[in-house]
Amino acid sequence: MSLALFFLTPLATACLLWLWRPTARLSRQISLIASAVLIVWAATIVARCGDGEVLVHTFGNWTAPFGVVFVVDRLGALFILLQTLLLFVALVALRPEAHGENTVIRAHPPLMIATFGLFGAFMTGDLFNLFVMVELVLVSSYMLIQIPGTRRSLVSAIPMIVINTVASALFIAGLGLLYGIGGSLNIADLITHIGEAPGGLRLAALGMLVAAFATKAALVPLCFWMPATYPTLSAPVAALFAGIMTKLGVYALLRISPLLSHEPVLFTTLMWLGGFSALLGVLAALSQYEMRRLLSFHSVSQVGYIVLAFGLQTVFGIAAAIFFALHHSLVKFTLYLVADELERANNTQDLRQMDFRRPGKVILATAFGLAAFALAGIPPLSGFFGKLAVFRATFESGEWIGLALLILASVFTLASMLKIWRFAFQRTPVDGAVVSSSASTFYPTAVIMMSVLIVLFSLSAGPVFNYAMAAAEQLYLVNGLPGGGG
Amino acid sequence: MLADVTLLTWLATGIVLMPVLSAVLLFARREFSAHAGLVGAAASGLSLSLIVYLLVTQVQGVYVLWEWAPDLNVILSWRLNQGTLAIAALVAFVGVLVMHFAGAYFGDSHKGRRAIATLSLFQASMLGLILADNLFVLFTFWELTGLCSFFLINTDADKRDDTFAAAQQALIVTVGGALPMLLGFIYLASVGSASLTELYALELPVAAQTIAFLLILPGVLTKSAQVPLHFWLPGAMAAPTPISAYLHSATMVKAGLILLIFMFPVVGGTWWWSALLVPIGGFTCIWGSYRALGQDDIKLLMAWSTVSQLGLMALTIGLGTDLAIRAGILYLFAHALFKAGLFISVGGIDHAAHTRLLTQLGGLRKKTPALFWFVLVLSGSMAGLPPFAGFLSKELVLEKLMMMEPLIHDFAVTAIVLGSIGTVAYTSRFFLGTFAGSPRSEGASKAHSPGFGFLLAPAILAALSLAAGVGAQWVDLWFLEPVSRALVGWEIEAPKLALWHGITTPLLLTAGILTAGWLLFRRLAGRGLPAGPEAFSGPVLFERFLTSSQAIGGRVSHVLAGLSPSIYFGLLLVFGLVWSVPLSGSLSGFFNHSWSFGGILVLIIQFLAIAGLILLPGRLARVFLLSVVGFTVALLYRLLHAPDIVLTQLLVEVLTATFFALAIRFIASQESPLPIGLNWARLAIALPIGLIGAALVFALSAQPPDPRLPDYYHEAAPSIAKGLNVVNVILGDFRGLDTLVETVVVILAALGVGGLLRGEQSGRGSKAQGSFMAQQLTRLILPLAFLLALALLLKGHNAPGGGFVSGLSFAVAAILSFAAFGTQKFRTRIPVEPERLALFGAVVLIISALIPMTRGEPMLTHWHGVFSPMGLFTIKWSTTLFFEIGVVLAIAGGLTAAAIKLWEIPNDQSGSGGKTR
Amino acid sequence: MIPVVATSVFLLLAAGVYLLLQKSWLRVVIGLGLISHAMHLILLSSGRPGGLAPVLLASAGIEGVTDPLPQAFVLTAIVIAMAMTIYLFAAMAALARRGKRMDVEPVPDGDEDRETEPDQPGLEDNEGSGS
Repeated sequence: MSLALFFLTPLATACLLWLWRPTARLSRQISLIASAVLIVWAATIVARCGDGEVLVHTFGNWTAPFGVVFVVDRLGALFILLQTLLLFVALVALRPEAHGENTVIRAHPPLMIATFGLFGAFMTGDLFNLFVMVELVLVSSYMLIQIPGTRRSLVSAIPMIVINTVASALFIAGLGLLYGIGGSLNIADLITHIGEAPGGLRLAALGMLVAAFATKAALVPLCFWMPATYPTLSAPVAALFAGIMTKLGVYALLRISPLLSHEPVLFTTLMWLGGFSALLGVLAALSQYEMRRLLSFHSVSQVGYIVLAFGLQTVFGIAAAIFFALHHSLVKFTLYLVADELERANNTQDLRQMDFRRPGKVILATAFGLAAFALAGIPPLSGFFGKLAVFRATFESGEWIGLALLILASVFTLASMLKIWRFAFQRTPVDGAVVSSSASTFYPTAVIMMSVLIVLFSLSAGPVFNYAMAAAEQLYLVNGLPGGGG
Repeated sequence: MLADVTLLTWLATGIVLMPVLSAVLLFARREFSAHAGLVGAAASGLSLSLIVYLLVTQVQGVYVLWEWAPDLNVILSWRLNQGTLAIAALVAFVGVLVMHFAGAYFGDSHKGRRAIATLSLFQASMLGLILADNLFVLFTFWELTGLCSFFLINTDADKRDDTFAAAQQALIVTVGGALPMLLGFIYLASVGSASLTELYALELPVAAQTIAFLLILPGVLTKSAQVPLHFWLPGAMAAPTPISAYLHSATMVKAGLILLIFMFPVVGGTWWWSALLVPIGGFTCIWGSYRALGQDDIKLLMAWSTVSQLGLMALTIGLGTDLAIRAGILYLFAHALFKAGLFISVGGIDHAAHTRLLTQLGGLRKKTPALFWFVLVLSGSMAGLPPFAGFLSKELVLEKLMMMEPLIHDFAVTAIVLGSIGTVAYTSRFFLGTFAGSPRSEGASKAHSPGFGFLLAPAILAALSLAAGVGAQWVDLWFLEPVSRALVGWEIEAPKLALWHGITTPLLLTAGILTAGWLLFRRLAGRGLPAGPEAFSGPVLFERFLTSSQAIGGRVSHVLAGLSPSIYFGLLLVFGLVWSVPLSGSLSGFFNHSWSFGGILVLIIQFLAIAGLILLPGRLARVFLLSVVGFTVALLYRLLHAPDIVLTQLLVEVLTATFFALAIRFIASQESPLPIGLNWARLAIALPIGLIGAALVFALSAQPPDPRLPDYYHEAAPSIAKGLNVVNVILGDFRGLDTLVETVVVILAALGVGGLLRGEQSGRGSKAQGSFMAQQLTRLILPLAFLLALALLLKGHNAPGGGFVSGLSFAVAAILSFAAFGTQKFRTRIPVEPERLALFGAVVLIISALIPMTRGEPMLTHWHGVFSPMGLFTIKWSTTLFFEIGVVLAIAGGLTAAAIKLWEIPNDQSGSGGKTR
Repeated sequence: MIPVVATSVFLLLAAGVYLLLQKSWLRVVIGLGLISHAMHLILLSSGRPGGLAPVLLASAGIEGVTDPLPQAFVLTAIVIAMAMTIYLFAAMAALARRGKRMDVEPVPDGDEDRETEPDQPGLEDNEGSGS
């Protein structure tokens, strides 16, 4: 019962904000309170699902598959908690003093709506409902993109809207095919019925879905929209985007993986795409000097790791993918927050013009160090465990080329993080002095929060991975996985 | 987890924690700058005490502290025995001396405080590496030492230009080598165990040993600077001397060799062990020695000599016998003692004479007599002169060599001899160049004895080097025996250590080496030797590798994100539809089905409209034709018996056309009016995709339908949901959540339009535009339109209609009124802003969703009832109506709001200078 | 009716993709509209359409009545597509007002084109423009 209330809270908050139109500070307080409540709520959901309980809500009192049901298992619970955490910190970071009153007022409702849509997506047990939720998340992200109101934000938004619409069209058609061969679009129902379906239509349907989700996850070669749009967003919003929006695609893939197991060629394709994304993404990142573009190419690379592990078709691989997704969201989010502070301090997004010399440098440098080295997989931070899991999954599956790609990508990841470090925090005499920067204040709260989160996450890597393993196994309860390992 | 931890575990953990505590203290408290060295030394001393205590009490075993991530085999546990504790003791002991020296070197400075703090962290990592039982924990500490090294090399970043490049090089090379090592650990964990102790108990098949060894090797080679992965080490000399003394001579660079010793019982059985380590070690030994000969900077000379000696140790370990390992262990300790001492002495010399170049030093014997004696002992140990420890260990090595088979024997002996000859030569050059003769520069002539802080460490280390050599038997009994036994795991039958074994081959070899080395030194007469072409040197190649990677990255980023978006759109379509290609066979269904006359008619119109869209000029024509296409699709829906969709599609088409027309006022000027025309390349992609779509339709229709859901809906709709229009019942009841969310989508899009066009409106609203006739007509039609919309809402449950259709109708009506009367009038007539209306609709939806929950029913459950007051008439009511009202408000309000925003943009403002209609 | 639907899908999809690949955003958006029509038809055909309309008269039974669920899906999809289309039109209009041409080009990177008006006060979203 409380599941539905939890679900509606962000929507209600958004409507409240839009109707009441409070000042920026009041809006911020309301949003912060709402998201704090959501965190606590989400934590209880995670705790309950941890015992294997699956939370269900049958909308309209119609049983599945005739009505829409919410089915929250461990996987959904994890992503929900992630979203609430990131939302809260994003709201903390989004300050009227730093980003402008109007930006803050305009951003809060769409952020809440996006959260509402994401909750729905993570909780729903029905594919068409997933489609609608995804569309809602997309529309709210369009609204967020054009908040800055600059020409650049408009110019970059249109290609992104178009590509997402094409992806949605494929999604819709795929759903139609699935309904045609499965008789319903309820996920659990499909899992039981899709085995006997004719292979041709099944492959066609699932292939369309995979293409749509791969676009949202920004896999090579469908990733162009990310480096184009992310630099134009106001930074805490970009952080949230990087943290969770791409995870929508990953989540969707995870959710339909029991269906995909009937068409192994899709898994293999994803594995290869993941591997190439991992390497190509980081190479592209290495060449960038604009910090946000660098970070978004990085996301392409890191999602490659996730999808490669996913494509291995083993339970351990799926668990590794889940863990890595969580780790990456936290770390990438932090990096964007750091980027925000650097940009505001130096009034530029170009690394070569950055020089952070003000009180709080230590805090920012520490936060960056934690996040960057976590990203590069240096132990004992979360990235190491993620990398260990992915490496091990790949190793156990005997995918040597994949391993080679991953190793190369890891080296380059380290190099690119060092590059940021070099320019942003460690100027040497040869660089000379940088033209004096703007007099903006540094608000360390959000960055400190994320640093703590990263450390906590690294320390609790054991239980988290255990939860992820259980989540992966739970996905396949209905349908066994061929050669499930791990 | 933590419950079973014993006191011993805590003691062991304490060894690693002490330096961490001092680091925290030094980072946090600025007041400690003056005493940073002492703090660091004290922490090292505490660790040392713990280690000694554990050594003396002969502790042995595995002590688990924390099961960090059991699923991933990461368990924080310590492996304590005489061997690991001895090596740890070495690290801690040298640490005490280095910290003390660092304090003197840096003086009272914040940079020094932070450097010593980082140095403490490094020490903790090094100790953890040695004491770890779990391979992944070992790996963790391994990487952490590299990370600390990165920051430490960068200490003088504000004074020098080359620190970052050197630090980056060191980190990337060692991390790059560590990655295959990680794979090796993963492999070992999968075939054996992740715990070293357990691995010792197992006997892995040789094939497994080979694989594991080959994977681990890159990590070893990079960390311990073996050719060709050695090039980062000389660059690391950009770090201040205390750091070089600790990391790059005595501890970190030994990590690879230490790992080899640890791994010997596990993977030492493979042939590749010797086959690779001996040649690599040998070449490193020679090459390092050769390069050291050519260095004028004594710090660099020491660095290259470290490379050479690491090679020697690698070769020794590579011999692959228990005795060889024993010799390697002894050399490791001896080397740590003299090398650390020499580096610290270099620091002292630098401090005294203000230069490190041999071309400028000289005559320091008289200026710094204490240093002279200490360096004499230390250099003697390095050169292998009796009676020092260095001699002892080298003798042991040569002894072992004598026992090897001819092939290895010849190569190894040659390598070591050549390397040693070089060692003697450059050591002589160093020593005599610094201390003998007369000063060659002003700095050297003004040299004074460096302070106590610079002399303590060399003194102690020199004393130890001497004592160890002289007291060989005791070294053997108390040290080498138990340590080797502990590390290698079994008893070693070994000849006793002694300074004098008689006239043996090793002794003769040593004599020859000393002589030859001396002669070489004289021959070179203090000059250097060429180093080889710069372009092929490691650092240059590494830089080129990074630069070319960046360049490749630039191209990649162009392909990934810099191409025309059309390409990506096409890619997505291909990627999504390629899976459907096998279904193209179902196109044969084209001939099997029946055609209807109405359908063919619609198709003809559709085709003509599309053709016109593509071939005709004129932007407005395209608007018109697009609507025509939409109408034909609505007709198709009609033919397919989907009445609700027909209504919706028609209304949507009207609205879309309206918005299109409104928007094209501005877009038109930026868009070419020329016909689109035919482009064969694009056709080539479009036509097959179209065929695939058609094939999908055929394939779907060939599928037998699944009646479960339709049957249920047809049955439950009238009976439970009390509605005859099943589609509407599905939208409003069965799948109400979809509708709710979709309505929010519309609201957002509408509000988004407002945001996009923020600031564009004229602020005055538009005036009436229509002619008088049109206005009168509209006055008549409007109320009818409203009534119709209302009717559609009310009867939607049992007949075509419903919330969507109604809301769209209201919106159309509103737009009609703009057209006739202008938006100003509209706004004065309707008191509520359309946006607020839309949001109010959302609130209604939320309430409608929540109400059932007060009765304990799930969200969006609907009730139905019959209202019959006094039996006069009956009204069937249903909460779905309330729900649909919310939908109507939202859609009507939202679309009207969006329309107003677009409508009110005047044609003449800045930007486009758009044409009017 | 099936071949009619299939042919229509072919026409719409081919034309839509053809326009999607054109060099002007306006044509791209028109193409998107056509593609949406095609996809909706595909979605509908999963219900094996052609039978009686799923509006049940009190007297009629459920024989031969079409599957209502895909119809509901299509309805939802149509409304969502409309919302997106309207938004796209507005976006293009906004761009055109700032003098940007509708050419399909890769998005430029770098700080260029970043007008520094990141926090325009302007009119609020929820207000109408004067009342």
